[in-house]
Amino acid sequence: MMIARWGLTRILWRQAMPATLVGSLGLWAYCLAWPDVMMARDPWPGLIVLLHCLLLAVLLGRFETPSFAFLYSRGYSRDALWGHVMLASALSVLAALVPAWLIVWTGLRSHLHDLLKSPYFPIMAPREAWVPLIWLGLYVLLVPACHYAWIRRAQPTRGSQGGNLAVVGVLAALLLGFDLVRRLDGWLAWLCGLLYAAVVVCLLLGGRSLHRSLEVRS
Amino acid sequence: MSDHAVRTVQLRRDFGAVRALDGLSLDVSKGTILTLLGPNGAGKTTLLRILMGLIEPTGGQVFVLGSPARSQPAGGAGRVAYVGDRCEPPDWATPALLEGVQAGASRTFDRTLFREFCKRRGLSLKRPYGALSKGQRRWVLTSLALACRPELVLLDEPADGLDPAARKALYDALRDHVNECEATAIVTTHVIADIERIADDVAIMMAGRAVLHGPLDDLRENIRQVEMSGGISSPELGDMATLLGSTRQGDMAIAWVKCNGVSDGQLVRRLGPGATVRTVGLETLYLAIAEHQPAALAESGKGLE
Repeated sequence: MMIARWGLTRILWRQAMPATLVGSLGLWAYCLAWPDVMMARDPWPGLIVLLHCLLLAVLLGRFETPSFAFLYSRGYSRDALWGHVMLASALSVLAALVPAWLIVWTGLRSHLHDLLKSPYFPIMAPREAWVPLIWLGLYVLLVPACHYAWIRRAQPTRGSQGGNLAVVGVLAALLLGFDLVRRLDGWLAWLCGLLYAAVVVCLLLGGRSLHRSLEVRS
Repeated sequence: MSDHAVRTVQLRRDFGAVRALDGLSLDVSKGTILTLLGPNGAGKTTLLRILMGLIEPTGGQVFVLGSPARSQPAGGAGRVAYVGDRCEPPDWATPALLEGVQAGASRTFDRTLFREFCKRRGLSLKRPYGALSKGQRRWVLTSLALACRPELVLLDEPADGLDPAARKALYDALRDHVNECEATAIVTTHVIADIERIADDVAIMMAGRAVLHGPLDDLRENIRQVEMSGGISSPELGDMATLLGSTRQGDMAIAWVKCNGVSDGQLVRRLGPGATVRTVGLETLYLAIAEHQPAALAESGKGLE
């Protein structure tokens, strides 16, 4: 069981700040300004989430910089460091997602567009209330995937791109399936959900495993 | 229980085509301060980074506090402390935050001691790291390391940028820590005076190998500069001394040797009446090895114990 360390979390949170700003400002702006009814297939939030996750992986994985050499030479175990990287990522995601979710759920978005004379609001507001959950699902998948791919890239002894291609393939299949799952019922939906959870867990464990033997060169 | 805090056996590390460590075998006894001396690129920093678990060796074995280095968590769960070159916190971090970061990693971290160190140099805990001078930064990092009360301290040019008073205070604190906690320290430096102030043992590294390793007092007592006409070779010296390096100045041959328990007189008798033998300091010895190390020594891959 990892014990969260305030000092380490604070440093990593600060390192991830640019990613948090991109994700937060992007999603908040989308929630406030998108004139049509929000749909799960809208490309913009997906791109914002992807960019946010990529930036998190890069900013929390700059193993060639002096500040990461400092953190990695304090005496924390590699697993503790990995856990804190995940914690900082989760905080960054929540900082972007929770206010976006509140903008939708509290009716702020609906009220704003009602004032702007949108024909869809307030009547269509309940239909889009669940959309931020789709974004959460994307984050849960993409945060570990991006970290895994980035750490794998940073491994000097793992030159093969096979692993990264496998990640991309699985993600593509899951993202397609993600849309499909919403239309499925019964055991097939559960099966897809289990597959999704299994992939996320594998990415987290795989990333942690690679992180244990990662070289920190500055 | 091993008497060695650190043991490396035929340690190798390659960075692409560059071999930073080339079969380094080194034992560091517990409770001693070993200073590593060598030119830039000799492999000193690479060695410390391997010991700290930041990078892995390409070959050979390395044991830190009795365990294979890679089997330990990074930093040996606070048993090993490291102050390194290009290993610094972000500029915005304050010493107070760094104190929290270090305390989270090491159960033995002594906050009071760290604050006392900072107070000694008049450092505010709230001042951002980036606003500190180079010497103050070094002081903060070394204070963090020593306040962990580690069993092994790895310091990579810790006094770089420190004024003479701070330098003395730092090395005094290091010596106190080693004596009080029976700890071990490995310190790299380019300043010979620092070595003579703190070292128990000295290792001179060249091209990824330890070409000379031994107690400082032993080196002081046994290293000699020999001058004579003609030439000086290892067969001439026999078992009496080991040739460390040699050069020529006109007809005169100058050699630096490590005596194997023989007096200057015995050495002169061995080499002939034209030979003169004199004691040399560590700096002269280092320069002699750096500039005139025999090719045979470099080829052998063996250090001189």
